[in-house]
Amino acid sequence: MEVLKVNNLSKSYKALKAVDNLSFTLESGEVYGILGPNGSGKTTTLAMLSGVVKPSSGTFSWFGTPLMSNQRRRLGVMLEKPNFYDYLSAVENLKIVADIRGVDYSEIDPTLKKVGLYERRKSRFKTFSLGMKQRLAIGATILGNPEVLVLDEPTNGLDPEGIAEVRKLIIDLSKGGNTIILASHLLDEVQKVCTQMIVLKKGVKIYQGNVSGVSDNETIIEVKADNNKALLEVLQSSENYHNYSIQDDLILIRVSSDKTSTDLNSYLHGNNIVLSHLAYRVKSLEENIFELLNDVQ
Amino acid sequence: MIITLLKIEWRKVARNRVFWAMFFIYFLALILALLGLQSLLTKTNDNLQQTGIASIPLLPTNIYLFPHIWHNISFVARFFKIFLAVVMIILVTNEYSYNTLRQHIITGLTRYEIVVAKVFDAIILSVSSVVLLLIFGLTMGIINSQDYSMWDVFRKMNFLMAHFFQLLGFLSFAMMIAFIVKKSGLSIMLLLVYSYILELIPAFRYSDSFGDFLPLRSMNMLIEAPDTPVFEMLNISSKSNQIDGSHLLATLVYTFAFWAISYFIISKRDL
Repeated sequence: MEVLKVNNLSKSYKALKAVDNLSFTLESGEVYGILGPNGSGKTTTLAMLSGVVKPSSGTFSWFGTPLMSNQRRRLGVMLEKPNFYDYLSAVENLKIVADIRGVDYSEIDPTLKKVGLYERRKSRFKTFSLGMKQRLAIGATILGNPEVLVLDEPTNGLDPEGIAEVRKLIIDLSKGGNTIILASHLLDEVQKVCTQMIVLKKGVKIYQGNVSGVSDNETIIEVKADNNKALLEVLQSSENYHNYSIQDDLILIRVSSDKTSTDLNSYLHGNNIVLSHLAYRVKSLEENIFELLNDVQ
Repeated sequence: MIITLLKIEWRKVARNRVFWAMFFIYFLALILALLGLQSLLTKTNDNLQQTGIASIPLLPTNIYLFPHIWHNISFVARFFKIFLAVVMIILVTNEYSYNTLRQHIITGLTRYEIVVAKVFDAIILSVSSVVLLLIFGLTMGIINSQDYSMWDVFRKMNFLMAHFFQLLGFLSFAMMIAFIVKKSGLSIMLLLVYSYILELIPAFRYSDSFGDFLPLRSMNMLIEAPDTPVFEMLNISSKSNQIDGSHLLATLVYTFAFWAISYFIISKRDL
């Protein structure tokens, strides 16, 4: 089922194009990562999708219709830093959220337990540490168990233990059938939590697909020969191996994933090239993302 | 929906100490002024007579008599609405400073509901002020008046209605400024400058044409100075014992306009 459809969404702030002609469709039940460096337009995109920022152009629809208040109950959105009344307790703040979303108060205590704040439920928000504030914001987002969760940098400001807890929570929620959209600048996080991802750079979508897909498409084979010049000539004229780069005295050949090092070796042999070095290198997701980000520069 | 909005507003103010402190300061200041005014008038009368300037009391000897008490206390209350306007400004700018305006939209309120909730705040603050004047007026009227009919008690109570609309209009004006400006200090500053300086210039310059129908002037002219010899002597021209219908209409129109502008701005803006 289609959860979100975005058509040519753009947002400009004077000369700056924060989001540029973004289009994508998200299906239910997946965990989507929106990945990009700081300033790549992740938060602006999510702010438009949650109705607080007006798009300069373009449209989007949640569950097949434009965003309306009665749909918001199906959406749990957490943008940037936690926003609560600092003179109210955790419970009182969540009661306001429950009032707005039409959620029963009986769901507040279990939610506070889930985010590990039940013991501090009567403390004022202003007495909370940064990590606790962040956890309360997550609690407010999942209150009433909305079908779709939008989380912008949910592990920001948490200690390692807190980060692990939040990631586990997200994975648990996704197993429960929630669709999750997670924005992050941390590759590692997207890799651990998400099944699908969209990579943004300077407001432009540069990749969408499986998280594993990024590393599936291509592999690199390292080669070296005593006569590198002859090797390069053979590679240039070849059909499958002409995409290479040179790193010191190594030649890195990008090949599609169905080609193995044996294929390459036998091909080169047939062309009278003897290799002194041959290594198969699977690119890490990080390298792939770096390449994606660099390609558009 | 309205019940939910009121419930949410109540949750926000119930534990907001700054709100309650300011709210009670308004009530206290108003009651003290209403109580102290008669002592001041009596004292001045005595002084004038002792020094031989006047042989009879020039100032009113008792402002707490039915039915004029309603006019008198509403007129005094006119000068205290600025305190309640500051409360109103804080209620709006708090939503900006806690970033909860943005958060509430994200959570699921509409921009329309955000503005409607604050309009209800303005209505409730105005009603609470009317209730205060009603209790004060009844108490002091019964204590001080002799030989009054039931009709005397209620006859001039329409000044309480005028007080309500005057206050609601002014609070709506303050609300609009706060929605636009976002910052409490700047909003209060602008409200003061506009109310006590900016509007007065065209109001007096063009008092024979549109001057009397500028926003705050219309509201103030709903409750004019009581038409008594003192104000005559002090050469205060705007005095009336009646509530002028055209000013009531102007006040209502302005009030709706302030609500509409607030909504227009909130609906167009990135939050």
